[in-house]
Amino acid sequence: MEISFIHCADLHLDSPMVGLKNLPVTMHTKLKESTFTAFKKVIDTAISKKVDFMIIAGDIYDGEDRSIKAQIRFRDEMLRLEEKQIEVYLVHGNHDHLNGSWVQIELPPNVHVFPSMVSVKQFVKNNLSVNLYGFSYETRHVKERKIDEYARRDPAHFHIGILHGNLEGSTEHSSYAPFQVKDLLAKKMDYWALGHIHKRGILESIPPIVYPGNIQGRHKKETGIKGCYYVELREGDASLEFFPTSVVIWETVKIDASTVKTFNDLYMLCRKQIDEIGDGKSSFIITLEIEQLRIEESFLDSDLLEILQQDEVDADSFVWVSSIKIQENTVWLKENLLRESAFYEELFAVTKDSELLNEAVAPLFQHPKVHRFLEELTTEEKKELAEEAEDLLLTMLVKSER
Amino acid sequence: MELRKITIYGYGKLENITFSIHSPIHVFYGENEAGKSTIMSFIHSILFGFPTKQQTELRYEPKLQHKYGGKLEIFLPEIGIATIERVKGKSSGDVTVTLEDGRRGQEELLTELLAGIDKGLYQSIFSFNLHGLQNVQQLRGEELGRFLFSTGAVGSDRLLKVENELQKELDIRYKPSGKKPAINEKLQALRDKHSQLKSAEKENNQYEHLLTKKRKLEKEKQLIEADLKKEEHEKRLLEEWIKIRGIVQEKEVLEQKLATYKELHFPQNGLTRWEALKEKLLSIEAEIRNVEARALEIDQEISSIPTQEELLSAEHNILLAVEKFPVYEQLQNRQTQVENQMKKIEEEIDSLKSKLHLPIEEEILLKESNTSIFLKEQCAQAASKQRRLKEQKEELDERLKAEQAALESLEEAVKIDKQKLLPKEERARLEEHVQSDHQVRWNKEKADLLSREINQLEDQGKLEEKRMKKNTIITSGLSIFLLLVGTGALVFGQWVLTIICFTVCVVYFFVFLSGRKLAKNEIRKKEHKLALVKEEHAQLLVTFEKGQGVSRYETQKLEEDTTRREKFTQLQFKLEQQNESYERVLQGFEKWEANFLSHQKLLRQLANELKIPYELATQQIYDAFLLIEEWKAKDRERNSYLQEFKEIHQEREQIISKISYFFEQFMENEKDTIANMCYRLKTALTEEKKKRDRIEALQRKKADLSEAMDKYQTEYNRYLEEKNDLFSIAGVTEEETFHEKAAMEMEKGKYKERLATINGQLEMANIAKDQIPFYQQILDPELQLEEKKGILDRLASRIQQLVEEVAATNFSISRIESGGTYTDLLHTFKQFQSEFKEDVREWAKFAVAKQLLAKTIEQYKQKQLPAMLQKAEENLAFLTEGKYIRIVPKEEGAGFLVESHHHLFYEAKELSQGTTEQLYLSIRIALAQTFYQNFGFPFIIDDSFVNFDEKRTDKVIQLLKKCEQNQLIFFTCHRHLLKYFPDESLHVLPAEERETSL
Repeated sequence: MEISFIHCADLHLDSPMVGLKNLPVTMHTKLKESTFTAFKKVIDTAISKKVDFMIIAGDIYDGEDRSIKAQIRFRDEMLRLEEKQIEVYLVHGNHDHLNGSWVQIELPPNVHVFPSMVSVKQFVKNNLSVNLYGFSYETRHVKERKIDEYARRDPAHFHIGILHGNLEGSTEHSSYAPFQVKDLLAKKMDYWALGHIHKRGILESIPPIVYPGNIQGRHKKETGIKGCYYVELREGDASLEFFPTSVVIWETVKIDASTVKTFNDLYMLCRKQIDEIGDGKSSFIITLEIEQLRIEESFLDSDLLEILQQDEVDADSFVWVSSIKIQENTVWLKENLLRESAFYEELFAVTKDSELLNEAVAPLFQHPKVHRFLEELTTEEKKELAEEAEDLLLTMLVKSER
Repeated sequence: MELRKITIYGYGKLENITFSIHSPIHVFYGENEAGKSTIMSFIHSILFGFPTKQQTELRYEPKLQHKYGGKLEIFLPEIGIATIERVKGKSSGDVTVTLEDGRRGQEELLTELLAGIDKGLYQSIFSFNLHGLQNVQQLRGEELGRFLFSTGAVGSDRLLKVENELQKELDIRYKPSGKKPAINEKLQALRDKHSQLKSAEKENNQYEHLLTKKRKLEKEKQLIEADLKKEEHEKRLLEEWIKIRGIVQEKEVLEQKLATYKELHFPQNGLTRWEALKEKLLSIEAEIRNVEARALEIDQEISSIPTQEELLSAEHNILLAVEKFPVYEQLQNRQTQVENQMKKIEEEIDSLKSKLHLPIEEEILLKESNTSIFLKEQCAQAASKQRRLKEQKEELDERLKAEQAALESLEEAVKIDKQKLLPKEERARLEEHVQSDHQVRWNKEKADLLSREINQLEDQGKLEEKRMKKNTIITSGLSIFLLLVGTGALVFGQWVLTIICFTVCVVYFFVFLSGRKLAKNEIRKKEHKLALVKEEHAQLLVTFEKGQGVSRYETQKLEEDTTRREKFTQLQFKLEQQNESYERVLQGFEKWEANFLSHQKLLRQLANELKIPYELATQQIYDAFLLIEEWKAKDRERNSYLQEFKEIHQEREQIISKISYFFEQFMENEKDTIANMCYRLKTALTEEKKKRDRIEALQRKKADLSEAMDKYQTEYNRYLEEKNDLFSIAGVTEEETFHEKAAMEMEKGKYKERLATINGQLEMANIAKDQIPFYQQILDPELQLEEKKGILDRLASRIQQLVEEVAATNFSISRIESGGTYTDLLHTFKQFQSEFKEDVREWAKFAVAKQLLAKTIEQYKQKQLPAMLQKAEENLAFLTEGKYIRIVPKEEGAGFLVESHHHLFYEAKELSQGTTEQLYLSIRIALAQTFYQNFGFPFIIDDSFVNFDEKRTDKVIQLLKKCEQNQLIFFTCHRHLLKYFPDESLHVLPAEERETSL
């Protein structure tokens, strides 16, 4: 009375890797291949673990960019599973919704794709049956509470819900097929295979409600080791094991530079931190966040970045610094300035005005030819931008005097 | 805050200087390079820190070994007096603050005292220098307005600068209609990439189309391939039909012909069999004829041969006789040999006879003489003994002669030697002489020895005497000296010395005397010894003279005589020996004579035995014996030869008679040699034998032939039977008709064979039998074949075309599947886009900052500015003596409008230079009076008003004096300005030489 399966989601195959100026070609090639390599690792795991089936909880492709190459590669991996008689149950998510206009590549018969209506598919093995529930996104935006359409159907030994959607209340993501944990629990499933959120997370352990995260980080915000879950379900019991698949790991490294006196000290500190990351096996792309920096020497962030980038050459297991963010302590500055002039009082008052920001960026963000290449700024981004602009202005005002 | 005291330890060229300030207005006067700027910098440095090395400002660190820094004493209304001391330490210096109530602290305390004001702010609010006014002079247009606004807002041109800088940064990044800025460039590139991507996407959309096309093409290809196969098969069949068409026709003809031969009977292989049979029959007939002819020939030959039967019957005897002929010849030879041998032996016997030359008869000698082995031995011994005796006698004669001669010569020698010897007396005398001579020589040597001893002893005596004399002289000298000393001492009353001297003198004298006595004794002894030696010497000399008579001659003579005597004794001994050997020779003669007599007796006896005369025996008994013996042997040999000769002759006669008998019987009665007769007899025999053999051979042949004849006959009969069989099967009797039937049979066979071949070929062909009628209906198969070929070519070329199309389609498909350009483009596009976004993000930062600034200015204008402007209006009115009465902010952006007392509004740029400067000062002072009123920092004015005329300067100073809350520190190099200030508040700085200035 036991079944085993692999649960993965958000493959985003052939997803373009961006924000990597100056990255050497070999590393870039590796990075470009990384989503495929990671997926291959998932399949390898499935085969070596001899699982009964595999669940892919949406976002196999990266959307409109669903390249034929990606589809062919996906199909090839599916063929490998077919060879081992491993069934695949997949739903399409917001990125690879059914309504897209891409070329359809036929998949082998072991792959079962859920339609846009919530439906059930049964897996049977040695008188053991599993009911799998799920739906695929018909369009890019599915905002309604699809969870309400899920209903457990007996008889079966196990029930598994597959859902590509967003946990209500998490503000970071726009709410696709929103749900709450209590909704899921109410459905009395033995396992909830979720997708959509790229950050790994186990929302509940009995029964397991799992976001496996994506299998390969794609930019600096998707940090940490990525992978898939190997799950064994028994009667009233489940065990989960995480398998890393990421080829290149994105990390943000915070460096407290309060002890640093000179530029050289800063460089040495960064170097040390970077060297500590490399484990000789995985590759890393690092965003350095330098905090509490107060040195009198003035230098350009780009200079430091350039020096740090010069050091890494090994393409097999590299540690690449992609960007540096230096946060200078401006709190003290603000306090002083406030005292200094009523002008700054006005300035800080004005900063709170969000409409101002929209006006400021309008020339490009509203530009008919430009805005299609840009994405609307999120609230968070706006906030960040406003802070940075304020810091910039203050720094300029203070520095211009000196 | 007021400055009370400035103490400089070392700052620039200033050292250990203290300035006390007691008034709210204070003036530092000095010419250029006197140190005004240094003091100004010092005040700033103490308050806000030394300029760091990174900053552009001068640090004024003393070049010489002086302490860097100093202190300020300031007065603060709430706290009282505070001392700020700053000396060299960390880059901005180490500061110590001491308050009136005793509190001390560092930077934190100072910051507290200064209420957070930093250097920049202080300078922009409270410091006036030429720079600010120069800005007013230089700026034109919009800038001026903005500058004045900036000054109004923050006391300096900061806002203006930042605004400009922001605009610059924005322009670098993006211009709405530009091409160069980074974002514009990137945008263009991005759009290009995007359109490329779109076209690649279209290619992707063809993918499905390509797949369908591929499937379609493949299906068509399959169909055509099937068609092609079918057509090809048909074509092959047709080709084959064309090939076999002729054969099929021939087959039909053959089958018709064969039908006509149905009633024909003929034995299997009939003709061949008949031919073979016929051949055999003919050959056997020929054989039979041949055998008959040969039998006839043989009979004829036999009857032609003549024969002589008797000869053959006597053959054995004749051959025996003839065979003896070689024996006959041998016998003849032997006979001649024997005759020769006999003659030779006769001659030898004659020679022996003559050698012996005996008087006795030959017959008797040969019969009676004893020639036994025993006698032969005796004869040989006797002969050798005779020879030995003769030799012995000769030897004895010779020895006798030699011994006699030796004896005689010895006797002679003895006699001569005896005469030569000395008489006995003479010899005794000589011997005595020689003895005494020896004694004399010994004595002489002893005398020499003694005389040397005498000399030695004499020398010793002399030496002794000399030493004695010397001792005497020394002793006497010493004694005298001692006595003199003693006497001297006595004279001078030295008793002790006198006594010592005398005592020593006396002792010494006695010692000397005893030594002298001993020496004299010694001399005496020696003299005595000398006398003894001399005496002996004299005695010896006497003996010398006696022995002087002995001569050398005498000695020699004595020795010679001794030698001779010895020789004489030897000779006498030899003579005795010689006598003895002579006696022995004589005895030998007697012995020999006895031997000789006994031997003569033996010889005589032997001669008798041999029947020879004694004389011959004495000389050559052994040789004679040998000759007789030989003679006897030869005689026996001669007799045996004679016997042989007789036998041979007899045998020869026998042989001749037998041969002659046969010859006469069978040959003509003619005479011939025995050899010839033998030969001819033998030839005749051989001839006869040959004839007989020939006849026998012929008869054997004849028998063989008759046997063969029988065989042939049987065979011939058998073949005849076979022939009849053959003919009866064919139903003929004549050979001719048989041949006709055979010809027919052959033809039939040929047809059958051909038919079989054709059937075989047809079976091999791919066309089945039942299909043949279908093909036979085709009128022109060649034409049809051509048509088929045409169809095939068309199909093949179509397939080729399809293959190519499929390959092309596959290529396109695989290119799209492997991602091809699309994925690359996609990734590049995304990369471009991301970079673009980043740039836009950066731009947005500046854009927002600029917007922020603009908005702030706007807000400031509305909320904060009016209060300041009110004061500024007052100031301006005061300075211009009511010529300008109002200052209002511009509606849009940063800038002011100024209202004259005529109520006309002027922009800053429209005002005169002087008025603008007045406006600037009004605003600056108003700022300190309003927003920074609470700080009450001293104004520091650095010769700002050089361009002002007296009236204006007066006004400015009056205005500044009105600011009672702010101390005024005024630096000037213009003497004429001094009159505006009281003397007690003046510090005149001494002029310095240029060399030492900074």
